[in-house]
Amino acid sequence: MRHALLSGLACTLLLAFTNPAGGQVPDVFKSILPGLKHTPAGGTPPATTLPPDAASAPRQKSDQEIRSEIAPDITCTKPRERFNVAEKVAEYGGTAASLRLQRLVSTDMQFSDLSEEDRRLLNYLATTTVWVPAEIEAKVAAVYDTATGPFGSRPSPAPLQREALASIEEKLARLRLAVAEYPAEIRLVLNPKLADGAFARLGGIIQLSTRFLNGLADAEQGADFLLAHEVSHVYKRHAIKQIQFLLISSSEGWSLAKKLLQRASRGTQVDLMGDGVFALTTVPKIIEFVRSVQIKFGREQELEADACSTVWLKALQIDPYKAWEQYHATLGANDTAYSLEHPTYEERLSRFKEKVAGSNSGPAQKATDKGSVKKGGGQLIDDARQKRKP
Amino acid sequence: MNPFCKAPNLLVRALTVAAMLFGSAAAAAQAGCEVSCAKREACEVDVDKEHKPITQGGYERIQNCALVTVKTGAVQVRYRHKGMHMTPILVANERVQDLFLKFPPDACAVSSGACLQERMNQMNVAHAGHGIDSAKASPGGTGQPCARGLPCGMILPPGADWHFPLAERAFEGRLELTMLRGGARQGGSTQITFPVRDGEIRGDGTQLQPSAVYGYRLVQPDGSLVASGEFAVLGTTAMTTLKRLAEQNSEKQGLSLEAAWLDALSANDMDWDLNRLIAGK
Repeated sequence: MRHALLSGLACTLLLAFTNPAGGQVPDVFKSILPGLKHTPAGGTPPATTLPPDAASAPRQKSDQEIRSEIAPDITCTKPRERFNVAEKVAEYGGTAASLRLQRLVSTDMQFSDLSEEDRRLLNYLATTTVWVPAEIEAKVAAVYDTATGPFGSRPSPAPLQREALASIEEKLARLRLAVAEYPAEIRLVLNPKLADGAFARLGGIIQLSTRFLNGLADAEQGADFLLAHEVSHVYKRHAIKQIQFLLISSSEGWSLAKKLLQRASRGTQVDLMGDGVFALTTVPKIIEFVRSVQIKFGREQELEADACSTVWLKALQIDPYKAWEQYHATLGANDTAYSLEHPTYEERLSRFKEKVAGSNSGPAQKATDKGSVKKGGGQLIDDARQKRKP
Repeated sequence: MNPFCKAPNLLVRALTVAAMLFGSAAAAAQAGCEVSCAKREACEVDVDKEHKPITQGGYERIQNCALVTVKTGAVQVRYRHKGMHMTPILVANERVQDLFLKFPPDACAVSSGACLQERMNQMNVAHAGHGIDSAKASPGGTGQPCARGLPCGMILPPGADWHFPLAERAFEGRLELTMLRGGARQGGSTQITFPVRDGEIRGDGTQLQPSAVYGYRLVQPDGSLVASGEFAVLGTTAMTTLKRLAEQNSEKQGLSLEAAWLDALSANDMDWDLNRLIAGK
C-alpha cells in the first residue's frame, strides 16, 4: 500500500516536474536554465544562468541590504519569495557565490565540511527563496496527508462540524479575495484527532482541531483573524521554508538538500531518466524526512503572519485589533499555558493597536534593533529549538 | 515450485479468515445497542425470547443486542459501525442479528466512559502545540478521567444545578477547574472548584463559559491528585445548530424530540452528555 502510494506520488511528481501548472515550466527551472530568457511573474529582471555572465548578472547587494533582506518581514511589505535561486545567489555574492553553490551541490561535500561562509549562503537562500514550486508542494502535501492519515482513514465530519466548516469556508473565500497573487490553494481540514489548535501545514493545508472549530463559530471576527493568520503562514511559505532550514541544518538533511538543488540546477532541461530517478528515490526520502520532523514556526514567523494578517484584515474593512481581541476572548490560550515560541499577548496587542493607528514602523524598527536582522534561517531554527527545550 | 510450500500459507490464511469471522461474530453477539420507539407508535421487542415494551422518547440501552427481535412497531436501533453512527429502523419480525451481520458493530458500539477514554487517548497530543497560539493539550489526561465519569471531549454548556456521578461512588474530595482557552480576559472565572461528596460532583455549571476549554484535577481532601483531564464546552452557535439539527431529525424520522436530541449528541460525538442522559434515564 505504502509502496503503491509512493510510486503513485513519484509518477505524479515526475509529471508535475516536467509539466507543472498545465504546461508552464516552473520559474525555478527557467531561472537557472543556461541561456533561457524569461520574465518571472513578479516582473523582476530576467534570471541569470549559474554562474551568471557579467552582462546579465544582477547587482550584487551590500551586506546591509542582505541583512535587511533576511530579517523577518514584520511589516508584510517584502515581495513573496520566488524560485529565483540563481538570481539570489548572484545578488548575494556575484560569480564567486554562484560558483560556490555549484561546488556545494555538485560535489560530494559533506555537511561537516561546510564552512561558515557556505552556511551563510545556504541560510540566505533558505530565507529568501523557495526551492519547490507551489504546485509540486501541493502535490507532495496531498499524497503525504493521504498516506499518513488522519486524512486517509478519517471519517467525514459530524453534522455539527460540517455546518461550522461551511461557515468558516465562506470567511476564507472572502479573505482570499483580499490577497492578490496568492501562491497556493488553501484547504481547510478538520482533524478530529488533533487535540488542540489550528495550524498551517505543507501545501496550503490548514488544519483545525474540533475545539478550535467549535470556538471559531462564536469568535465572530476572531475567526477572520485566525484564518488570516494561518493563511499568512501559507503565503509566506513558512512550512516549506522551515523544511529548507531543517534540510541544511543536519547531515541527513544536507544530502537531500543537495539533491533538491541539483535537480533545480538542471533547469527546464527535462531528463526523463534523471527526473525519474529523482522522483522515485529522492522525493520519497523528502517525504520521509518531512514525516520525521515536526515543523514548528519560530517567533519571527508568527510575527510575520500577524503582520500580513493585519494588512489583509484591513483590506476586508476589519479592525485587526478588534479581531484579535475577539479571537483572544473566545479561543486565546491563557498566559500560563502559552508556549515560548509565540509573541506575548501584550506584544501582539501593542502591534495591532499601532497597525490600526496607521503606524507600523515603530515596532518593526524595534525588532530590528534587537538584532533579529542578523539571524539567518539556521539561527532562527536554533533559537526555536532552544526555546522549545523544557 | 513445491506445491506443499503453499499449504501452510493457505492454512494460515484460512485460519485467519475463520478467526476474523468468528471474532466479528463473537463481537456482534455481545455488542450493545440503544433502541427507541420510532414513528410515535407502540413498540415491543423480544430480547432472548423475553418480551419487552420499548417506550417512546429517549433511548434504552440493551447489553446483548444481537438477541433482539422486533415484535411490533418501528424500532430505531443505534450503534456505531466503523466509527459511523448507524440509526436504522427495524419493523416487526426483523432481527438486530441480521443487521449486525451486514454492518458489524464496533468494539465501542455504544458510548461508555472507557470508550471515550480510549478516543481521548488516541488524540494527537504531539501536534497540539502548533498554530496560532500554542497551549499544552492532554485530552486523555492522567488517571483515566473519562473512565471515571469525569467530563471529556466536548460537553454541553452546563446549567445552574450541574451534577454528575463518578464511577467511584464513595469518593470524597473536590474537582478543581482551570480555564485553558477562552474568555478569561473578559471577566470569566479562570479557577472554579466543585465539591465531590458521595461520588457526586455538584455545583453551578453556569460559571463555565461556552467555547472555553477547561483543564481539571480531581483531588482528595488532602490535595493528592487522583486524575486530571480536559474538556471543551460547546459554543453558543454550535448549541443553536445542534438544537436545530435535533428538531429537523425529529420531524424527518418521526422520533420523539428526546430521542432525536440523543441522536444528535451521538452523531456529534458528545459522548459524555449522552452517557449521562442515558444512564440517568
